[in-house]
Amino acid sequence: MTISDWSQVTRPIPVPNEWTKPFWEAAKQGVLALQRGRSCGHFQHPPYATCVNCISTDLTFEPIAGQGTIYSYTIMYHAGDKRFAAAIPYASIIVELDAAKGALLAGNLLDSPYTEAKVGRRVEVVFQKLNDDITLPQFRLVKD
Amino acid sequence: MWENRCKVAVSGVGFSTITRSAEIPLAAHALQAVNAAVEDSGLAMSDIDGLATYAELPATGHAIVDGISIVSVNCMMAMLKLPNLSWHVQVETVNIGGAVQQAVNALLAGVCKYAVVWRAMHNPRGTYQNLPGTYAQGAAQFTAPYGFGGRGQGMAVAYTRWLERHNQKREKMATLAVTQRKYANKNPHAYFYKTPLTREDYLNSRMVAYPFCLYDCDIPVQGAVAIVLTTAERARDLKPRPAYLAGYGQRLAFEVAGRIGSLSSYMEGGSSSARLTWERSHPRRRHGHL
Repeated sequence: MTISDWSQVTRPIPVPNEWTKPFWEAAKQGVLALQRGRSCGHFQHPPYATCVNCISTDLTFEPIAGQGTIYSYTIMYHAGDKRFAAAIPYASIIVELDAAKGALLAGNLLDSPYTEAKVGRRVEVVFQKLNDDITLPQFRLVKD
Repeated sequence: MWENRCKVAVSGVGFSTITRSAEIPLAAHALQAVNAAVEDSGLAMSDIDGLATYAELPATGHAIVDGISIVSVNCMMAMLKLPNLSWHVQVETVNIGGAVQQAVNALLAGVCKYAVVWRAMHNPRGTYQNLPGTYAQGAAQFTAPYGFGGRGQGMAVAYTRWLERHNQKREKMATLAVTQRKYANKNPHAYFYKTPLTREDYLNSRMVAYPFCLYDCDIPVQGAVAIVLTTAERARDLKPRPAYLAGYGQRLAFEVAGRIGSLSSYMEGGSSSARLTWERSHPRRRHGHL
């Protein structure tokens, strides 16, 4: 099975805003940092105006370990999105980190055939530089 | 039971011509549907005093042009110039059901007598999901860079979760698609009226976004449907046999924009909507105590 070819893909570039800036600042440094409510300690992703656990607005960002499992995935076969047409078929995955249950991060399954995407498989974060400002957290399978 | 059970009725239905993609401005479809619904009811257009719609353009990445790709309440007002118009609304959440619910509420509140609700849907020529953007703004900044471009992929991950966590098979979804097509084959207004679909067709169709195949996707078309709603009392004097509205229920899930993959959020939204509808419409159950 072949590995999806991402070399011709033009990924849309994230535009950080008030809520999300610390996430992207950390990623640029090769650190995965998620939003966390100070009152109850709940980690969440994507960032939001309030803690989704306790409605507190006292929020911060903290580094978190990048190991987790594939929560779910989809394999894209349709070339409708021209930016990604060169990579089909490819796996877009959702990852749940061990240290942040309920926080769901999107990514691609890098360095493995897309057929290796399965719910429950172990993955770890890797960082993919898009440009000088933006680095994407991505995921690859953890070798047993 | 809801105290307003069966106090509002549907007293007219109208359909526009339906085409695979846009040939004429969407406003012409909407007008055709509204005219047909009012004619079906036996009312004169000047009797209509309430208007409601959900105008959203389902195809992403295309220009929103009122009258061409959407038909707003304002657009309909400008076409009809209803002399007795006394209430109107345009909803943004919970789809066309939200507009119907608002019209029901307006009739119950007595702020209008005969409300028309329409849904007009545009299918642009060319690519339906037009995703050329260089940047990913808002909630999409965490999904679009990974190829989660369209809404379908967000649903696909919840579907995969169901398949693999609950040891399910795609074959079960064939039943859904094939059954819905059987209903379409009985509806002369349906685009697929004369096109059957078998389980084999479904299982042999090409994959779009696994686990969704071609026949898990609805077919985008251009057209409009409208209904006339009125109070049950007034409905008795109108031409069609009234279809009484026993209850409604619709609720979104408690979910943050951009967080995708959760099956339970779909379940929570769907089951709460079903529960509300059942509680309100069931003659022997008290609302809120199911």
